[in-house]
Amino acid sequence: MTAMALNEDDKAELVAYLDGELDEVATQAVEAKIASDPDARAELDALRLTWGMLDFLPKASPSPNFTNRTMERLTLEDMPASKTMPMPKPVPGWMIGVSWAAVVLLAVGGGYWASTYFWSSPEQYGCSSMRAKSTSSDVLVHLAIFSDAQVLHQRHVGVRY
Amino acid sequence: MQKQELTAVVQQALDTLNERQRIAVVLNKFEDMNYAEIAEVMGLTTKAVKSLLSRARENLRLALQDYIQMDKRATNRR
Repeated sequence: MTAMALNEDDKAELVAYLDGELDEVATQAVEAKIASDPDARAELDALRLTWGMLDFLPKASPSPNFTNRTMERLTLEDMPASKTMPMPKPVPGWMIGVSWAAVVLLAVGGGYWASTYFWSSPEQYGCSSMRAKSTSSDVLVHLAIFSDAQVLHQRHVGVRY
Repeated sequence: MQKQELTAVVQQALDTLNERQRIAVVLNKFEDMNYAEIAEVMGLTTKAVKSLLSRARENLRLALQDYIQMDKRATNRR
């Protein structure tokens, strides 16, 4: 019997035996075979030596720019914005409506307050304030008040205009 | 034989393997993965990995046969 006589399953069993991948029963079967079959033993030795020769391969060492290249690839390929930044939750439609209503209410209320504060009628102020603000048109509008003042002045000084 | 020569010879032998065999060898030999772990990484069954590694090691054995014989003779002379 030669090494070539070993079939694929026999070789697979020998390799698995070397790798420690066989259960106890299969291990005993292989050990019995290599004890009785010199060709199987030779094949096993050759496979073991072959595996040992791989130790001559140099250990892989990263190139000096490995880190930079890896980080670039991670940035471009593995870290899309959708994964790194959580997507905002969609805003419900009713909340948009409420927001717009609040904005409109604020605008209307603010406008009303500004108009009453900055363009108030002179009646809301005292006389001095009214005088300070009076113009010729104000005099016409408040002619009745001026007429009353004229009557009082006439009574006081006894003068007729 | 110098270590550098041996390294080149082993690298050539490894290059004769197809990609799947080479990956399985690298994971088993250099990453210390067992068959189940390799099967998970490569998306294969454990039985397929066993067969893959068996063929890979047989191919390596054939590619390195002459050097293994040299090594044996050198060992016997010592």
